[in-house]
Amino acid sequence: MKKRMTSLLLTILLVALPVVFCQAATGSDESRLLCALTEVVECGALGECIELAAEDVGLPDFLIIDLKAKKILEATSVSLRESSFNVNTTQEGMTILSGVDGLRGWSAVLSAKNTRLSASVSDESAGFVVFGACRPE
Amino acid sequence: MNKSFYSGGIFALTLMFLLLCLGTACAQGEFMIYPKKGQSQQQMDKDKSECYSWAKQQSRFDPMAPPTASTPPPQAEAQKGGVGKGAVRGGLVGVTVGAIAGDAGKGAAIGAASGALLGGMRRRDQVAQENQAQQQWAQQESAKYEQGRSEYNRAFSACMQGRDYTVN
Repeated sequence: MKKRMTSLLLTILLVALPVVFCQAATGSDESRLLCALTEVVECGALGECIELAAEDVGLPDFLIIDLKAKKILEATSVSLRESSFNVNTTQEGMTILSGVDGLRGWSAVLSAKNTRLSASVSDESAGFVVFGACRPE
Repeated sequence: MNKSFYSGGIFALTLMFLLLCLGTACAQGEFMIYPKKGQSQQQMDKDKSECYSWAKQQSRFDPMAPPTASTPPPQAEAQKGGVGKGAVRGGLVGVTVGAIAGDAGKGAAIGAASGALLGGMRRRDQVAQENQAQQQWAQQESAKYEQGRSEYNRAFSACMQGRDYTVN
């Protein structure tokens, strides 16, 4: 009986340990996403739109979306800029975020297992549509 | 790179270059001086040196000193409820123009104090306004420098004439 118990425990350990080590080895935190902003379009109230780079509108090229802390941050060593958000809905593999930053409202959709990002940011006279690609940090 | 950062930097650099050129031209003597009473070169150098000191004191302008901006450059206008250009760019521009204004630390602090991210995104119309403000600032600073230099020139010229030199 004792021998059987020991072999059972050993089996469990053998199965469980690689799983634990694998998770530790990958080191990726699924709740923190590193996103590269690939495209920004600005549209004015009269309908004119123009394609811009992230830096043209004062956005960093890389952002971190921290789903746990509910914050978007610049992907720099010391981020001084951030924006808080709510996770409104999660359905069909999509994560929908929304927030208010200053007098701007914004919403973003993370799709394809949080690897694609599209967002819109709007104020009283213009709006931005932002596209990007994400991966766990 | 950020176009606005570039344009801001270009304005600041252009202004600095302009002022340096003006300063150098003035310091190296844009005057034609002739000793009316046949003063020696040594005497003329001495008089020039004394007149330089006197004119500097009178006009409160030193053509030999590196030019500094008399007013801080326009900062990125705060987006309603947010920031103008964001901390990164704001910080960089702050350092650039702050350094010209002789206060790099303050410039950097102004830029870095910004905290909004999406609220701080810059619209094209804001970028245009900020560029215009930068241009105006550069022109004003240039005009002030020119005015100071002109006053110095008048004072220097008066001093030299008072010592029997023809100054043109």
